Amino acid sequence: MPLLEIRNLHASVDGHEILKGLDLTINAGEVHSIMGPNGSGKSTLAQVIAGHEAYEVTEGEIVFKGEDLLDMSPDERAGEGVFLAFQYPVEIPGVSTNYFLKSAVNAVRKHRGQDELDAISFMKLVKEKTKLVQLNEKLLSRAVNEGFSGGEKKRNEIFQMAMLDPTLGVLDETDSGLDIDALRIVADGVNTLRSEGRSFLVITHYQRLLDYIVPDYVHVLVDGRIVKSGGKELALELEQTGYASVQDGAVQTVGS
Amino acid sequence: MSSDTMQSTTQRFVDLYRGVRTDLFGADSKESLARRDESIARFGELGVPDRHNEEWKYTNLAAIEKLDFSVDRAVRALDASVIEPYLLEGAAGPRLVFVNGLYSEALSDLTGAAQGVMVERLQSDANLTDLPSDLLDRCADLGALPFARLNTALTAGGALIRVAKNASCVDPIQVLFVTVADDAPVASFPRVAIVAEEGAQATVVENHIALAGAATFTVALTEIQAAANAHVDHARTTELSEGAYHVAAIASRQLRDSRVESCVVATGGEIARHDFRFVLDGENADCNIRGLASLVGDEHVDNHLLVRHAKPNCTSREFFKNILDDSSRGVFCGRIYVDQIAQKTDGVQTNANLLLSDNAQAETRPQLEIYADDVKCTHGATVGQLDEEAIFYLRARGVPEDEARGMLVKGFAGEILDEIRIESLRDRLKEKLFRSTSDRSALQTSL
Repeated sequence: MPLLEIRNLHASVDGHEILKGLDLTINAGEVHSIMGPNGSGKSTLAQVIAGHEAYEVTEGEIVFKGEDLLDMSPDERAGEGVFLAFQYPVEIPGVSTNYFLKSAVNAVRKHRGQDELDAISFMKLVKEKTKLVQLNEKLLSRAVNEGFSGGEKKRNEIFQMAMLDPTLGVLDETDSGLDIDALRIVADGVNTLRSEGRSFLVITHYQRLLDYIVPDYVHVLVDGRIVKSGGKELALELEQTGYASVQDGAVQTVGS
Repeated sequence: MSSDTMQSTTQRFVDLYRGVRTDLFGADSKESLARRDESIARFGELGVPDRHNEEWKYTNLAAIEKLDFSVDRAVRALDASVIEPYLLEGAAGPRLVFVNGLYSEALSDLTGAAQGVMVERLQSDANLTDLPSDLLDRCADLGALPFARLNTALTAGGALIRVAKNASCVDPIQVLFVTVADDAPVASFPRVAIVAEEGAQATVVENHIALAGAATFTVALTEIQAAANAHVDHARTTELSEGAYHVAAIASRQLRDSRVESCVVATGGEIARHDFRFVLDGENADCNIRGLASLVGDEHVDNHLLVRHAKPNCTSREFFKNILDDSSRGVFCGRIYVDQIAQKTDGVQTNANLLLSDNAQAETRPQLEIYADDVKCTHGATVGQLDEEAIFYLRARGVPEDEARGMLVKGFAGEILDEIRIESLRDRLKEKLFRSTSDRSALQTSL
């Protein structure tokens, strides 16, 4: 059974159809990348997987671990193992990262039938996972993402992913706004988290990120549909020829 | 009497005064009686304002017109368990408890005052023959507030806290006012005076609790005097039940290099109105006023502020927040007034409102009135709802929706509450606000 199966997905926002029949299958342990021009629907796909209510699914289905994902609330999806690293992490004044994250970690643990972490085990886990992306622990006593630099926000996303231990990590343009050093740190963090039991969907506009997080499969999303799929070499090809060359390409399915 | 007043209501309070006049404390002193007489006369002139009065445009006291208030002549017995939840945990400082404005010997504990700290109860058999004469009218513009006048005329009890030169009370002194009415409406007129002498430090917590029952009307007055280099840390809560009306004036006068911090938290009741009159009357004085109201149902809180910079180089900060659910209403009207000589004034005033329901309302009017030419003053106001993107962010990390909303509300309130240094008070208020939020969410979910 695949981990994630998206069939004929149509989704709209404010009455405009963005996704127009998207198919995608991800098996356990695979890293898939979705590339595509601006406005092709990459971020919409990420938001729909995470359960943002502004996006209306008008047709199709998403099956996650054999269950209907679209039937679950965003927090249930997180409990089931879906994690979205936001393109624009939200600043939340007055709520400290530590406080929020402890609630989040214990909510997903509860959902998964695990014991809640006490303060000491939680801090131990924080210590271990902050090292993964070289995030300064002191930042965590601040309000969520408030006063964080662009790079710190993205590292905070990957840190949170490590804390929540998902089975599917969706990275929405995690590379945007990162310089080359920060990009390497974030990618190293993700690579450390790669395992047989964990899959990734890496959404990016540029091929650059894929030099560091090497995908098993690359898909090209144009106008709400996947128009071409291939191996990691497809990313390089796109870098040279641009997206225009694949606009009329044949639809292929992979990974199934 | 001006036309924008409730004349019959005004007259009823004047009559109420005539009935108890010679039984109030200080009645043996001609001077004291004269002060009370003068105050009731002034109150009669000013009158109970109606909504045509610009200062009372958003707060309608019409409901009290129909209520026939009496005052208690003897202190009611109250079970200690009633006030227990409000007591500061582990506080060594003295505690004064008043029931319907009258001092309760049984519930109070005057021991534990630090050296140099004098805590005096104002009551009819106290040694004090008069209200401290150096207090009244030393704070700005109280004369124009009708209810401050009414309090001076009718007060039957309160606390006078005086901290001697360079003395320090770090353990908070708690003054707890409970109002309770069984079947007939009751009015009370509590009074608090805090005098910090030169270099002194005073920490005072003032709680106003209204228990469930018939209507209560509380007309309170708090005066703070901070001499040179003094530091006053003041926290005040109004935690009211249905049928409770609370009108208070909080006045402060500061001399050079003094600091006054006041945190005012309001929740519950029908109407809570606070008039702040703060004067920075010495160079380098610094005041910090914070306010938080958390309201549901038809609750209504109105904060009116006037902070006057009368001397150069003073700093003032006024941060007020309202959390408004259901059809509650929050009013903020604030003004920083800068005298012509008050150069290098540094003033910031903000009011932020969080609307949790489509029917909740916020009225906000921050204002500046500046006559000096070298000052740094800013003001701002916001009215908004919970950030849905923030809620989604929290939910996408596994936090259930109710908890996510509660977390954001708590975060909004935390920016005010976290500044309260007395831990047990801070925790209790957080718990109270957070619990009521999750109760609300639970209610909404079940509907």
